[in-house]
This record gives sequence, structure tokens and C-alpha cells, in this order.
Amino acid sequence: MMDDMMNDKEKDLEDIVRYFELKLSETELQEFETRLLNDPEFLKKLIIYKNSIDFVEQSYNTEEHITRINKWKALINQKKKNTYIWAWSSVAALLILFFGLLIIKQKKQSDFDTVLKDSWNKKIGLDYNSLRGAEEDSLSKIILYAFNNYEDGNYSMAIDTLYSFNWNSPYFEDALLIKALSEYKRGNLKLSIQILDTLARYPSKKKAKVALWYKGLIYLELGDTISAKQMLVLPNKQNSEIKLKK
Amino acid sequence: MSMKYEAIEKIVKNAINGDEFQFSLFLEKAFNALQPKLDSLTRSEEDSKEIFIISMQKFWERFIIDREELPSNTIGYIYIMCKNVWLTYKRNIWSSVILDSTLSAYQKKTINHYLNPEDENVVNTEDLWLKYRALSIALEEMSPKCKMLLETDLNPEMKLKELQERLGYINYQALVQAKYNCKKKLIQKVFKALNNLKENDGRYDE
Repeated sequence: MMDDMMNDKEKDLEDIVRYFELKLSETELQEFETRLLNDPEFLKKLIIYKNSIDFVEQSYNTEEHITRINKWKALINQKKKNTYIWAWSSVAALLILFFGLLIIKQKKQSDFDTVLKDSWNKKIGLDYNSLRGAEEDSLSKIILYAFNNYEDGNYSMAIDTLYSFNWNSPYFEDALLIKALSEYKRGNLKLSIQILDTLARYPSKKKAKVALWYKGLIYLELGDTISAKQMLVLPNKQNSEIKLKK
Repeated sequence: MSMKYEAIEKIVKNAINGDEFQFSLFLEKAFNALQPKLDSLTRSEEDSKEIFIISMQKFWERFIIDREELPSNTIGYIYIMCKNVWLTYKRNIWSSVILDSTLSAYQKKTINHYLNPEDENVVNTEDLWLKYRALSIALEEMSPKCKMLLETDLNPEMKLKELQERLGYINYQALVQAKYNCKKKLIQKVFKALNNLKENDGRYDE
């Protein structure tokens, strides 16, 4: 009897794992969903498993992984598709043309990537050096601590630090900015954009331009130049830098 | 999309060996090929993109990192994965169950948190505490090697490539695969610990 219960538990876990590994066939998926609707205990297990995945991913997500996903998003967001690049043609002329175009595209992309990287490196709105002498338990110290964690790539820590932050304090907008950028770095794009929108509309407008600047950079990094152009002026013949639209 | 199995296999092999360039092109081409079907499934270009990216993340984990055998009809398989994601994440089949009167307020809150993960207001501190406790219990049960591999994400000073020699992996890819499997084990252990804690009102029944 006990053995049967253990086997059932193991089988349930195995099914849930396969579900989240996207390994179920269409028939299996239908059966799985029917069970979810009729078995609240099984549903609870599924939710706890999803919580476990999210929590581990959130705690152990890598910068490499986030960068790769952002690149993929940028790729499929490109409006012009280079459909010819998959022509595995044996015709030499086509190959030369293909590689030639590819090199030009890569060069252009690489130049643009450098400009984009420089723009991020300007750290606009993120100068917290003046806070370094702050008292140990002051709000400015919390902001500095969160910012240092953000700089060190400890994005979850930066967000956790601001979790108990006093939202009525004078540093409210700084906290929002660091949170938004940390969420973006963690891969939570939608939430990050939502926070930046809030910041851009905040009545005091202290960080409104900074919020638009980073929103634009995020769109650029995702390859969505149309959205980015709503906030930013992109490099052209007269201008080699990315600038905030006036 | 007419791509031979051998061609895709080669692209995957290159990606396993660290050359991701062709994989990126493959990804773009696969999306172009699947987009009409995905759009008719989701009726939204944005949703199509989102489920495709989630599927490709899983594809990467399973076929590049964990080196599962590639399915013969790879593009068709990616479509099935997308369909799984669509049904799993988008159709929210569980929303109808939330109304089930047998669920406690706490369970409803948990379910609501799952269905709306971006709504931070519904995350209560007790739930967060349980997750941290479950993670700590799970980590205690992991091997020292796994713990070290997992901690490389938390400590930027400790690089994976440096660890490769120290832990005796033949190459960087073997190390990444080992790390991935440690993460999978950790998720299952966190799940068991979290389930245990929730069933026993926050106490861990060993």
C-alpha cells in the first residue's frame, strides 16, 4: 500500500517534470490538463513545482543565459529578414555574395553594439559616489548597497535590498531605477519596462528622462528600433552617439 | 522549412562546441518557417514570439547543454514544444480552478501568485521564507561538487572555466552540462522540501 503511494507520488513528479520540459505529446497534454481540472492536489503540486523552478532560476540565472535570450529576441524582432542566408548553395558566386553581405552586416552590427555598450557604460542617472560617506543605517546607504549589488551583477540581491525600502523617502525614484534595471538584467523585461514607465510619469520628474533613456536602450538591445526611436535619436551621419530625444 | 537532419545536427554540434553563430541563424530561420502556424495558434505576433523564445530556451537546455538525441523532424518538434508552451503558459487552464471552493485562501494566493508572477503584492513574506528554507534544505542535500558548480553564478570571482580543471571535467561543455544537471536536481529537491514544508505548516518533516 505504502509502496503504491510512493510510486504514485514519483509518477506524479515524473509527469510534472515532463510537462515543464515540454516533452508531452498532444494526447498526453490533453490528459494532463484534464487531470489538472479534476484533481486539486495534483494542481497544487504542479504550482509548487513551478514555484521551485522560478525560485531556483531566479537565484541561479546566469548573465550568459540572459544575454543569449536577449540576442535571440533581437533576432526574431528584426523586421528585415535575410532569408537568403540559409541558401546552402553550391554556387560559388552566391557563396561569395552571401559571405560578403554577412561580413558587412556583422561589421555594422558590431559598430552599433559598441555604441550601445558605450551608452550603457555612461551610467546616466546612476552616480552614487556622493553617497559613499553615508551613515550605516541611512536610506542613502541602502541605495548605495543596492547599486553596488547591481554593479556586481547580484541583481536578485539588489532587488531584495530594496524590498523593505521606505517608498516615501527622498530616494524613492533611485530605488525604482535600480529595481527596474536589475529586473531587466534578470530577464524580467515586462516588469522592468512597467517600472520605467512609472518612473517616467512620476510627478516630481526627477528621473523621468533617465527612465526614458534606459527604456530606449533596452528596446535597442532587443532589436526593437522602432520603439527605441520614440525615446532616442540613433547614430547617423551627423551624430555618432545615441542621444535622448528632446 | 526544408532543412536536412544532418545539417541541423551539425549546427547543434557546433553550438555544443561553443560556436553559436549558425544556431542563431537557424533560430531565425525556424521562427520564419513556424510563424504562420504560431500566429494562427496564438492570434498574436507578440505571443508567437514569446512562446517561440521560451521553447528555444528549453530546446537549448535539452539538446545543446544536456545533449539529448535530436528528434528526426526537428522543426516539427519545435512546433510541438511551442504548442506545449502555449497551452502551459498562455491558456491559463488553471484559472477556472481558482474558483474551486475547496481551496484555502492561502492556496488561492499561491495560485494567484503563480498566474500573476509579476504582481509582487501577492507575495507574502511567509511564502518567501518557505522558499528560502526549502532552498537551504535542498542545498544541504546536494553534493559538494554540485554546490560549488551552482555557486559560480552567485560569485562572479569564481569562473566556470577555472573550475573545469579543479573539478576534473574534460572540457568546458562537460562542466556546463554537469551544472545544468545539478540545477535540475536542485529544482526537484526544492520542490520536495517546499511540498514537505507546506504540508506540515512550515515544519520540515524528515
